Amino acid sequence: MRNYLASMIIATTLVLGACGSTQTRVTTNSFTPKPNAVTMIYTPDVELSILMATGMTETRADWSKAGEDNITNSLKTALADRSSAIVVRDRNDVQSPRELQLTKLTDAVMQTSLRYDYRGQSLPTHKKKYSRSIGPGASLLAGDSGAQYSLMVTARGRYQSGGKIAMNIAMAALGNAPQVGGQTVYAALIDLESGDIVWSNLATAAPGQDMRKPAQADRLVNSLLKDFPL
Amino acid sequence: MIKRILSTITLAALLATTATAQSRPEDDSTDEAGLWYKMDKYEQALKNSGAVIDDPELNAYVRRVTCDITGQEACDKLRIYIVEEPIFNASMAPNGMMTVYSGLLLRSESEAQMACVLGHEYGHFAEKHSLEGWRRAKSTSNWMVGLQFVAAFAGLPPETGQAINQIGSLLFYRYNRGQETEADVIGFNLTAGADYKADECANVWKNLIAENENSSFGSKRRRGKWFNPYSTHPLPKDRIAELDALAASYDSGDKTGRETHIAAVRPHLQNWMKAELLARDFNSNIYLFQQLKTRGFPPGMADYFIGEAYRLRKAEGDRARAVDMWKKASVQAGAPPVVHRALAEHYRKAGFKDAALSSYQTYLAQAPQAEDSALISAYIDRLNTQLGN
Repeated sequence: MRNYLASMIIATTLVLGACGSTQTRVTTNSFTPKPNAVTMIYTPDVELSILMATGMTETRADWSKAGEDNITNSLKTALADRSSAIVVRDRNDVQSPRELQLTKLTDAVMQTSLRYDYRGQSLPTHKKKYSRSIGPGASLLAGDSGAQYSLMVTARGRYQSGGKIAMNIAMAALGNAPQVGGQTVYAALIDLESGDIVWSNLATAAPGQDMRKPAQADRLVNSLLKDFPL
Repeated sequence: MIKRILSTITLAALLATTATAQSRPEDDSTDEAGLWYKMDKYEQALKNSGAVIDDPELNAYVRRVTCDITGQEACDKLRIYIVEEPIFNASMAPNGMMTVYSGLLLRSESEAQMACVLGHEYGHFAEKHSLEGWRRAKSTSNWMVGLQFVAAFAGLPPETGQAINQIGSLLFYRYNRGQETEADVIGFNLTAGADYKADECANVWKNLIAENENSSFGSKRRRGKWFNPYSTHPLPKDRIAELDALAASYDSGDKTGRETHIAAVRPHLQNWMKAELLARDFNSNIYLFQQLKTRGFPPGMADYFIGEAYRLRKAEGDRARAVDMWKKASVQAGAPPVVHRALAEHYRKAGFKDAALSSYQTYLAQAPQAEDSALISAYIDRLNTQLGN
């Protein structure tokens, strides 16, 4: 019985946790946007999968591709009338080794920040201070676009299958904690002159913010960009 | 039982004589499309990794041999990446991305031996083994969870659930080994079908066993001796038996492609041998390097690296053994310039200043662009001063 209660409590917190939330981080204390700036938006790196009854996850190409398209469109809409002009760069068009290395480095720095700044995990070799920057080489990312900033977005998500939902009910009956899905979008704005991440945010999708659907992706991206500085 | 499974698989694979080319799945909602999507991303990351060897001649060579055995149409679906990794291995992704480790190319004696392994990898692709394996994993975990529920509701002790897990994973490993055997047969058929000498496939595994038996590490010497139900691959000796049996029943061609293989590997030999030392399995290194010498690689290069293995092994008497090998290497064909630096360092530390000076000078003469040329010049100047030259 105690097990059962405990699992219900855990289930409730997980369900609450699944409601939308965002955690903005501004990494420079006095951020002044450059006048007439251009922001290059990389098409997002999205991987959405189905969480099956057994706990295994299976990537869904159709969902992931829909997520990519929808988030790209939502970003374009959301940033259309801001102070900064936007250009969109298709991630799949990146072929030059140098640009690829820089996008990989950006991803590595973003993942480190995600672990440390958002998830509270410690870093193996840094106690407190570490650089949230890819360095001044970042200017190469601009190419001939004239961009001063680049916006990188990654999205990951798991959706429960019908079997998983049934399974969770059965698990709860046995006194075990359920395993639920969830989707997150993580964005970082990089100053291409210094390479610093000047703003980042992690948004967890709330009900009605399903990135597989265009209108709901708009809502998810709006909450992601609620404190966007440009 | 195992024998029966093997022969059934053999028959099925023999029937599938023509290689089927796999195409990108059209329906994006399938599990197969999901696998391709994931692997496409992985490939994009691998493509420009520093580990990929982009030498066009080596790539053309590996591709030529692969296409010879699979046929052009199937080969067009493959993207081959040669990765600098001092390990005997190759892998195949469900989207047509084949990864070939430099350690495999170094250890293969011939085109034929390389073809057997690449044909095996291609077999995984042609038979959609990744997809089948994934589906098998899903169905296995389904019934495992189902049985665990039954056990839990029936009030059976928690050990029952663990036992169900064990049985499920053992069955999955057995299934995986079946796929490997099937791929071995496909690799054999493609290789022998392209008129390569049929017994070369078994030689791949015979060489690997010999190398492992010479390892410095007991765990590696014991590896593959006994059946392990958790193993993903069949035992090398079982693979040899299977491949030997296939070869015996085959009217074999006599092509091996030894010279072309040696010529293709030769430009990378020094880098790859140097990388082999990183695993610190020096006894196995010495065995492999001696083998390379007998296969037609330059003796100067092989002996230099045997000396390096002795130097790094640091067992009783290894210092003298290393110096002997370097001396031998330095007067033989194909010795790398660094052999003279190794000798010079030895002479300098031992106080043989004349010999040290001469070896340093030979090194710089042979490798004027060496990264350490400034340092070596400084040594030469100091030795000249000390000798009153």
